Amino acid sequence: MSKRILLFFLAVSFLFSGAAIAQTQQAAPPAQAPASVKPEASIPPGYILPDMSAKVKAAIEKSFKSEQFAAKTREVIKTDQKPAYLGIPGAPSPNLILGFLWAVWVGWIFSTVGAFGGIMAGVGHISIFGLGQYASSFGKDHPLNKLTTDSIRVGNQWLVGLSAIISSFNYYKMGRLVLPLGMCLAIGSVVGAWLIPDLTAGKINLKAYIGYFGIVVLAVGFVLLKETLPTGQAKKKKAKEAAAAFEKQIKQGGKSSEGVNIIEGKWGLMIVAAAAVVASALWNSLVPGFKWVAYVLAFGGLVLSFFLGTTRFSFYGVEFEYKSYLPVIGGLIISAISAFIGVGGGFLYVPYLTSVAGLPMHIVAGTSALAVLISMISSIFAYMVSKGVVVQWSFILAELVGIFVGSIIGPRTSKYISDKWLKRIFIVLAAYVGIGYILRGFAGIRIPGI
Amino acid sequence: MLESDTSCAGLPALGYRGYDLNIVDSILVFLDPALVGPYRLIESWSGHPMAAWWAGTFVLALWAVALGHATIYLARVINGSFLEQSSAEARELSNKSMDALKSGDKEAYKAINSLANDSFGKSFFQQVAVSAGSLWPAFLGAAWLEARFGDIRFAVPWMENGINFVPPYLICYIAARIIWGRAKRTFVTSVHPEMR
Repeated sequence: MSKRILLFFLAVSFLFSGAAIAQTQQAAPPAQAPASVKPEASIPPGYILPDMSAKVKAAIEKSFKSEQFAAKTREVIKTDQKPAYLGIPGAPSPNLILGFLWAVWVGWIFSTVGAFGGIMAGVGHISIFGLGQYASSFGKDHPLNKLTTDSIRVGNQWLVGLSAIISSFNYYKMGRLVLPLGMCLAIGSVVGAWLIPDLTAGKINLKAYIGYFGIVVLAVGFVLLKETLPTGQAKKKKAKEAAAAFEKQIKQGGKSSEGVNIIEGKWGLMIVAAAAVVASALWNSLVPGFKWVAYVLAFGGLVLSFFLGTTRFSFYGVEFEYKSYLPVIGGLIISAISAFIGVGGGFLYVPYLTSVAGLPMHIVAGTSALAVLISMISSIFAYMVSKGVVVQWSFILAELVGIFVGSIIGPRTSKYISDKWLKRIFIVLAAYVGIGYILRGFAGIRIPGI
Repeated sequence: MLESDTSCAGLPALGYRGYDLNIVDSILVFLDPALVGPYRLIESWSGHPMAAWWAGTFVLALWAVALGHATIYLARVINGSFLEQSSAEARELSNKSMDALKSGDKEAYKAINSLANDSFGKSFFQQVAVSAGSLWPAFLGAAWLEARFGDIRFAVPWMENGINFVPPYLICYIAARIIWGRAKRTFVTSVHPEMR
């Protein structure tokens, strides 16, 4: 019974965390007020077209309220050209066939190497279709820059997050879930989802977003590199030897009973901490003033989580323990990364929980499935409450079909290319793309193709 | 609300508002009479535009779920053995790591768990990619809804501007998936377990 209540509590807290992100996006000040604000008497003809969505119209109208932004709008929007992306005249027109082909490549990577596919989807949105360059051409803090950046980010979230939800649901059905672990991830995620974007609101535009994205790409490349270096290979070989030795040694006995038993955990304090962070998210999204209350509640919840001590549980009769603040920090960082970059983030829980918290795969699969499920609810809420960030559905559709086709081809080709070589190809690619984005995002230097 | 939208000839805001018709837009134009049919039919029966909107959207969601399942079925026919092989490998390694734990061999457990992690990652993302196959029709539905009902807003307490068609569509889609799943369990897998 108490487990059910806790599960419900977890779900509600995540739900509100999503509402909070969304509210943050909605409430985020578009920018610092430009130096000279002199509203134009009227918007020149040709900039606002009848078929544009309300959100695009609003962004263009807003840009004409400041001299500085209006000049950029006049410079970038080519009123004599055909409307394209988001219905803006002279914007790039992403090619659905190109989108489909790129997605076949993404699907192929998904089914051969794994997580790198999500990053490749992001690369497609930023570079291949020219949307990122177009967004940044409006300049820092411009309403149309933010609109296009949001559109790219939400596109990524839909693509990666939504396709992850169904498969992770299958793992969830296995029922391998450590509730206190999920609870601690929730505490971190609720705060990370609203507080981190909130604290940096208006400070991140596409340029910086590209730079951060580059850092993530490089980090993934680095992990792949580590795996293919002699030390990484030796480690894997050793692991395989140990597995083989153990297999020889062990006589397969009957199946033992499964299940998780919590031995030690400060439930009371954990619930108080979770309540505090949920209240912070609620306050932030629903109460217009006194924002400091939300900050106090969020930080209070986080500080409390450091007093949760160690949680111990048994699985297959074997005891495990972890410091409770570890999943809190993990949830915080992973949900913040997801909120910013829109690369999903769910896949980060598995390596985090196995490597940092040292937990077995059986448990990690179930618990991370819950996290993926909830992070998706968060992004749906973000989309809902933020008055509908403009998403080009037909493009996501073409990409989903492409990913599916790629995933059918992938396993059939992987026997011709060794795992090691595949990883090497991606390391080179990750280094090029990662460095390219970092240079472009933080130094304004562009290298070919990026 | 509904009358003004459904009375338009063709789709009011196709593609991305001003694009030349792309292949998806052409598909939407082709499907439009069939997709808008249930809305009009229910509206003429009930005389209630809002009820017609929900019912019509639910029918749309059912189509999306059915088409998604058909695609996944196709994937299983083509690639089932590959998928099963990789998930079986992950499962086997995972079970082995548990055996190592039970026997108290922490070193073997750590080693096998890391292999299981690798294997799980691969299998997980293979399934993610395949699951794209079950979701594409949902986005076709969303593209059509955007073109036909993109500008309508639903009033929601606390929210000044209400919400667009996406949350109600999601509710319909989730409900359609649940109903489809139950119906499948009741009428198909209980009789033919191999169709699971």
